[in-house]
Amino acid sequence: MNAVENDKNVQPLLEVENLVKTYFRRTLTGSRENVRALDGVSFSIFPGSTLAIVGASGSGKSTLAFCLACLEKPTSGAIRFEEREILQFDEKELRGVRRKIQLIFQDPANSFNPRWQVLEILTEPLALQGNLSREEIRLRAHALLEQVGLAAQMDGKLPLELSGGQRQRLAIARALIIEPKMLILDEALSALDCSVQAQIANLLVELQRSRGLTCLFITHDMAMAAHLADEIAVMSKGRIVEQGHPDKILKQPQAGVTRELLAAVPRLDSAPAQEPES
Amino acid sequence: MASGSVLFDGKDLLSAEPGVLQGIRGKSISLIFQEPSVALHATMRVGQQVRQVLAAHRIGSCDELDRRTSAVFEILFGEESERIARSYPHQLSGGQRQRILIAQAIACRPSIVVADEPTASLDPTTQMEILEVFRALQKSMSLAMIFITHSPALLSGFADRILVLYAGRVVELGPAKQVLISPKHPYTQALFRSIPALDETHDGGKRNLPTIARDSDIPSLPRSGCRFEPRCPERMDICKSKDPGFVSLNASHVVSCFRYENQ
Repeated sequence: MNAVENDKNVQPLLEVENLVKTYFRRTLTGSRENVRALDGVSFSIFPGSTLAIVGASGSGKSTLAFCLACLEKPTSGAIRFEEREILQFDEKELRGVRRKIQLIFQDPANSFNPRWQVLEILTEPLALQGNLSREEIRLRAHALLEQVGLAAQMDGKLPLELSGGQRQRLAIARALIIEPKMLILDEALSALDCSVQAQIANLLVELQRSRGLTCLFITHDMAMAAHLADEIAVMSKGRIVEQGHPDKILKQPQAGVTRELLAAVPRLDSAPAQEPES
Repeated sequence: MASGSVLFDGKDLLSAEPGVLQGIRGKSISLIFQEPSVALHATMRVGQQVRQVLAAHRIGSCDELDRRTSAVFEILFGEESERIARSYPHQLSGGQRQRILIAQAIACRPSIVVADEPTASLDPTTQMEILEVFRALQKSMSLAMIFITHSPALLSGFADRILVLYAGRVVELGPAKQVLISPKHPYTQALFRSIPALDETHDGGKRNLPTIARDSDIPSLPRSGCRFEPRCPERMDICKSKDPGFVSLNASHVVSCFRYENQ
């Protein structure tokens, strides 16, 4: 399905090798206990493609997102981004990488300053870079608002005045404004109702087409993962237990975890457990 | 409330005295929220939090309260109930915290539980587990439930009847199976179409999901006529000017749409 993957000359945008992240937790008796949130994760993503990571809560999906966005330091392993080993980078170099990998969360309301207007929220990343004039920044912001399906006139609103779908569009716009190479979406659609989910999903597909964005889509919605991704990786207990083309994962799931996740997907037409009386 | 009435057991709740309502809230009608980590007190053991619901309704002596609390935990957690009751919310998983909210809601043996998106923050496996808990409770306590959700697929095999709301109005109400399998209102139909299907094939490149036209660019709701008219793929002239009434498709399935008026 994805032409770039077959092309041997194209290098992966991101390569993760044997990534391990251990947290320490204090038990009730006060002794330290190891929690292996990531237990040897390896995969690679090619430019312009989407990898979906699915798994139950606590399987390490979000820890992985934080490590890739350089917000957490992995205990061991390697992350190569644009063919450079980023774990050896110093803080200054890391800042350059963070710019290129943007993270979008489930509930964007928590990541906006509630007293800032849409325009301020959207342009802060650009203003921080400080190499554009105010007018240029404003123009770019307006163009981007239109592109994600928000009206430019909305730039004076507060986050509270936006609907859930509009807030998620704003979060995507803010992530895109510094022109990243890669988006990490951590349950970015989960809080939206299904018609708005479909709109945002379409927006992502369109943005990927027009900008060649690479996406890491973290979710527990198997159907949406299959719809959006070129490849699905199933995580359980900090490991990738199965990885492959969406059709293969859905139709011939190998790992028990995958089968459990698929069995739990609610379907509109599944037969009622019992006929309602009356 | 601007107008209308809410009848519970034959009594109008909207004109009831605050004292009377206090006795109904949490005791006869209880509410389960979406986000268990926000709804629970962070520094109080969860057993205590369930016990307080009983205490607030003066269920009985201290011994009685303890007994009823552990009985509720027994129902929801089985063998683990004692350990869980002594835990703090942060020591529990999302599914377990959701069970605590359910415990609070059913502690006084209510007749109606209103659950507002009780499974939205949970992964699918845990979601199923919580639905199973509800199903078992309904059977054992003959509980009536209002289950509020934005993922209609959860309702199949769980709900008896489904009511679809759009912009503050009921657009469709009917038996779950009928509404889910052959929805009648254009909004319900469009909503269900926008859900990606698990069994679609994924070879032909990325397709767009069908969405409901024009969402964010509608400045405000129409003042007259059907609320869904501006976005409706099947709108007619009459939809703009007149409010659609309810059309009965059969004894139990009603829909608010002019398309069905003369059938």
